[in-house]
Amino acid sequence: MKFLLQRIVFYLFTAWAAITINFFIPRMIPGDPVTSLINKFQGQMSTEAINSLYVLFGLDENASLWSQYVDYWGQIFHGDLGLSFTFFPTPVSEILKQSLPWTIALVGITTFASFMIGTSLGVLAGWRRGSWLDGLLPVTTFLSSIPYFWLGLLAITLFAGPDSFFPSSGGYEPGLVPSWDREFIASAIQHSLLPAITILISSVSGWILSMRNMMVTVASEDYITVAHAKGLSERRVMVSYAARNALLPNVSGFALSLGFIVGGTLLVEIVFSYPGIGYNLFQAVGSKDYPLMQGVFLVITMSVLMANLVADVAYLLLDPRTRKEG
Amino acid sequence: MQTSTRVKAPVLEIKNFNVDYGLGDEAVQAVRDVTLTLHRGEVLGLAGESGSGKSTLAYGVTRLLPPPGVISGGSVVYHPPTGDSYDVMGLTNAELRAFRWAETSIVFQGAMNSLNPVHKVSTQMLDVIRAHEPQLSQEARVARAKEMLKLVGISADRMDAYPHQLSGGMRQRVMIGMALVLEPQVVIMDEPTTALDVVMQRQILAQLVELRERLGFSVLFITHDLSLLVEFSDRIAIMYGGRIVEEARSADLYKDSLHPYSEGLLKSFPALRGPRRDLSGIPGSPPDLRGMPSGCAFHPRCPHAFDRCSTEIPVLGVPEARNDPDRSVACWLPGRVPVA
Repeated sequence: MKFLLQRIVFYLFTAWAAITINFFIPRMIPGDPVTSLINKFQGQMSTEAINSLYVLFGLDENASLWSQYVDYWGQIFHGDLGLSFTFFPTPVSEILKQSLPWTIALVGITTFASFMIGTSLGVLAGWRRGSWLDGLLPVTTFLSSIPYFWLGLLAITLFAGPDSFFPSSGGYEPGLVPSWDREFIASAIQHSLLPAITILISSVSGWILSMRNMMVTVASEDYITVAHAKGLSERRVMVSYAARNALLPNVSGFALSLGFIVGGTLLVEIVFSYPGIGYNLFQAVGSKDYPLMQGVFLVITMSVLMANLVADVAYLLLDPRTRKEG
Repeated sequence: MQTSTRVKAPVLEIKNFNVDYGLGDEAVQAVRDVTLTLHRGEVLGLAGESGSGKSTLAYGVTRLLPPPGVISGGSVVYHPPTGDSYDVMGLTNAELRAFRWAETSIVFQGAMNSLNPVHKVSTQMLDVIRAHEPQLSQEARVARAKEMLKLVGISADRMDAYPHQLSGGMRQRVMIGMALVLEPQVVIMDEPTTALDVVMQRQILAQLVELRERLGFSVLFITHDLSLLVEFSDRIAIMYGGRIVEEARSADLYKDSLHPYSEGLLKSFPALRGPRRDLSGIPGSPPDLRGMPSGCAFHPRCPHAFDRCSTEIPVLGVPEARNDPDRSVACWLPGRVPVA
């Protein structure tokens, strides 16, 4: 318990540091949205109009950095992440609320599926070393070494098109209104298939490989021989003696990958124009939309920290050796 | 400690047993033509240097050899207390699983690593009972496991401990308790005390002797420590280069060993009791299994070797000079050649 509290305090500190950095980074990037707007209008703006734009966007030069920082914290605690520049005047929190479910549904489910499939295959490949399944490993390794954006573009070129079942972009049919009806959900699933499959292909072999290698290592441990000598069934030895122990590094890897669900989807969502949080970030960077960038970074930071905490707890539950007495 | 008064009924008969590592011409012959009988209730010691094939024999007999180990010949006949005898090598996988631990259990060399670090002691003791006696209720299983732990000197509240919370000695006690929990007829012990300090070795062996009196199992005790065997086993077999070179009652072997290798082994440690002896050891090093010497494998290191030793492999048999059916030796020296 004490260990867990220590971890939580540590993560709170990390969160504070991350949020502070999150505040400073966009302000250190040269250029601001008003300048880019001015450029857009090619100098046909009056000085008053420019000044009012600065005030409107909260880039009022009169406010000191410190008071901006204090305001920033106050707003975060109110769940107010400011107004987006690109989707002006929609609040950032509103945009995130719309895009987050898409990312979590697509990447969350595929990450989980990839972990489950990869780990199970890894258990079998490692247990039956030298079998046909083990021989397939180089193929999956090859697939995972393909750069993701290229795999995605390749998938779009080969499988998507006007007459194809797979749509090439978007999260749902443009004419539909997001709701929980059958038509919409079917369309959403149809749109998510191609990105999901490409994510699966590029990520599953990592799980297979690490699980397989751990299985091979664990299989030569003395307690596995003892388990065989005890006359336990092959299945019991494989699952509860070998896989149970080999799983430990993979579980912490999985918990960490949960944190990258939100952050790691940038490429997927750009390639497939998927309405998730990575696509938001892409748009925000393109138009120097500080509030949106900050909002996305905040979500990414929080999810990575949460995932780390989950990893700690999972390890604590799975490996008795990490539990401290008393 | 010797219990030679027991009726000699065999419980495990190893006949012409061969184990190779690898296949075809590349194969290394680790165990050659071993014939060894374990009688009911006795402690049979198996001694030899590292690489003499003693552990390989233990793994082979229980069919636990990891690849590339291959059993290339021989049989292991098990005689259950009731019912027909059968060859362990001929068992199907399911029959083999039922045979393991219930009839023959093993205590392994690695006292530290024999227990799975992520499962409680109770889980690891109970799953073997559940696997072999599924009809037993959970309460009965727990009671059996606790009783067994108590017998090996571990208090019942340690059931819920994880292996890393136990000391090395306790872990090996738990392993011995686990090996006896199904009350097998045969317990194979492969250097069970090697990783422990001398005091702990004594304690555990003393306890083992006591348990054997009580439960009546037979022990095949494998070690490189001949002094330990002399004291604690009924009979001793000496292995060299994959073959048994001498077999005798412990006392006979100690007082009057026939094979020059046994003699060398006995001279490698100080006597615990009795007159002082010179320690000399054995010159040279154990043979390379990939290129065994011709004839008797020991002849390059043997102080008494003569012409015949390098050409013909000596046969294990009752020596001419000692007309005693309980002794056998494989040596060409005068008086030790087996009676025809």
